[in-house]
Amino acid sequence: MSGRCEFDQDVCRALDNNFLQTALDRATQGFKNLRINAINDIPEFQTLRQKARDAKNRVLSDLPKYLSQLEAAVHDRGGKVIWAENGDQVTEYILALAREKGARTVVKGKSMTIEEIHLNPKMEQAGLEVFETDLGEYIIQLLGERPSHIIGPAIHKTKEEVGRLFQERLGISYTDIPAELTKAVRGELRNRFLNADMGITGANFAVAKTGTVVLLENEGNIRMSTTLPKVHVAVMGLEKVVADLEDLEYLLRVLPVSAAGQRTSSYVSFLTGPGRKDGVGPEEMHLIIMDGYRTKALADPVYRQVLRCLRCGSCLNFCPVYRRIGGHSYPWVYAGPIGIALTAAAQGPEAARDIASASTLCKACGEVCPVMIDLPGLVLETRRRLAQKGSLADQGLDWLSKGLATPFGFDLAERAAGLMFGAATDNDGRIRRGPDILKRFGQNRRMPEPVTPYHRAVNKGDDE
Amino acid sequence: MIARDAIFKRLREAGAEFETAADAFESTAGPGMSADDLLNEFKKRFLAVSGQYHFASEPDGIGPILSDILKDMKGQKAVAADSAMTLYPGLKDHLEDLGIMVVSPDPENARDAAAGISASELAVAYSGSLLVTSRTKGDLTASLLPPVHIALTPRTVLAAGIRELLLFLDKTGWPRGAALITGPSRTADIELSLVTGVHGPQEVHAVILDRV
Repeated sequence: MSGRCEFDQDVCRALDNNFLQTALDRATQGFKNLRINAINDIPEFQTLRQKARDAKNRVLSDLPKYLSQLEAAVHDRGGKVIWAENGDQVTEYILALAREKGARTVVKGKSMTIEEIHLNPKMEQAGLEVFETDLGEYIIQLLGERPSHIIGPAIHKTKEEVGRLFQERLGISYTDIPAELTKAVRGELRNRFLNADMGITGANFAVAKTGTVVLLENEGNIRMSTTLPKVHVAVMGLEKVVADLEDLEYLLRVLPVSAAGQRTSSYVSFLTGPGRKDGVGPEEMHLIIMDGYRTKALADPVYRQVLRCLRCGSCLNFCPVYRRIGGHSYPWVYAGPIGIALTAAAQGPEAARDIASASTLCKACGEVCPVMIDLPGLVLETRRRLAQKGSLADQGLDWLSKGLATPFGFDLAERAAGLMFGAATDNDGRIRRGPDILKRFGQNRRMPEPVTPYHRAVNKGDDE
Repeated sequence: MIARDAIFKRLREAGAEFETAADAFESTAGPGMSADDLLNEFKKRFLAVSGQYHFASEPDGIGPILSDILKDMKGQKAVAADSAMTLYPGLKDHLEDLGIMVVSPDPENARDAAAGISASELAVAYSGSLLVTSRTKGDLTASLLPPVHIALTPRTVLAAGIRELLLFLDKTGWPRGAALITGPSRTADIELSLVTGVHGPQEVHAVILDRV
């Protein structure tokens, strides 16, 4: 089965899923309203966006300098820095560390960077017990699914589904009250936090000057994961380094507002080196700095701006396409407009072929991005690069556009369309007959029935 | 080191240059706020994130406020951070008078405590936030493990914005762990319904001490 068919089927499944449509509406509209209300109360927000963009541009212009500074600062505070080319090297390091420490239980904070590298199954295969501790991540871990939204990983699940899941897996009596379900997880994970041998998190920012790892969250699970176990491992993409405190201020101010309309998240942890006292704080802190696709993206003059992304999820909430098809229709862990851009930058435009066409180019994503990534421009760039590869269909379109540019050609095409439409479409308006190229275009679209053009209807007497 | 060298080589070869060109910036939360402005802004923002605000105009005022918050906890345990006992030397006796057992703030003891009492090293008006750090014994656990967190917050530690917070952390030499707390622990992960008290506290009380 080709990727195209899978994509179309995922999309159709999402569109036919009534619950998903309601859930997506509720979640994205909720996030949108929170953001809009918060920003109305911060008059300098547009300037803050520029400052945040500049803060990211500053480090991306000279990553060797800032990453060396970060490395030195972390060492100075007794932390360890590990460089990893890719997810395999991250996994290898973590598994070796777990063996060395005799670790059995791991508590994890939500991290998109770690989602990229599929660490959990590999840790489980190695015999470690791994607990996602963010409520949404915990739910999808039990289900064996992937997150469908950057900051709301389980927004595609109903409270009834979660209720049945917890009844079966946690052995609690059935309830579908979110507060009760949350309480059950609090009880379930409290012991895990206290007994875990290792805490693994991502990093929202790492300050070059001070070696401080900064983590934002709302639940408290990241505070637990970074202070209760004796070993803390933070995994960051190399683009997460921040030059200094001034830049950190701007980034800290745009991220939570863009994500969920908060002036700051419930908890911001500033972690500078290891140190355990009175049973609190890790004895060891390991900062793994990963490349993955990042140096490749950096080398591309157009796509490199994706490295500014803060993973706020705002462009998903404002995207009319994401709001209908949801996160699981996208091929990689990243959904929405940034998902299109990151997939193309990391895996090449071909990997983003289907989703690059899934955009209305309404440009809302570019308007809301807190670091001013030109998301509509990157979607167009992806389409441009794919078109340059010159498929037969593209050449056909080229020929067609030349033909339609003459009055005679246009008139002919109009009349032909009316005749062919009836022959090619079924009663539901979908094209199921005719040449392959037409079927591929039309089988998942409901075509509007052609009407007699106005000029021809009005001039009918003169015309015939 | 092999990975490091290869990564740095590619970073240099990428030759990435970006422009930085922001407009001049003036923060609405910044220097120039009067002491009253700071307190009013803090109160407004703290209440907006479901914080519970208390004001003690005299040092004696702390006692009744605590008694009121803790009135239903007789027979239970509480964790008191050293910093809180410094600000309110009568804290331990007061809790014991209420029939509450004071336990040491290591996580094993704090795990089933009903309340945690810390001080705030700093409070941020812009966001209604409280800062606790690893510098003093018990602040991190008292503010995280029990379902009720009470932060004794001298009025003098009020600061305007995030910038002042970062400058404060820098000036005081970056503790190992610092947590900026803004309201109770919360989630909206199930159908976007807001639930408080996920892993951290369900209630956060700021007790502002006008005079220490």
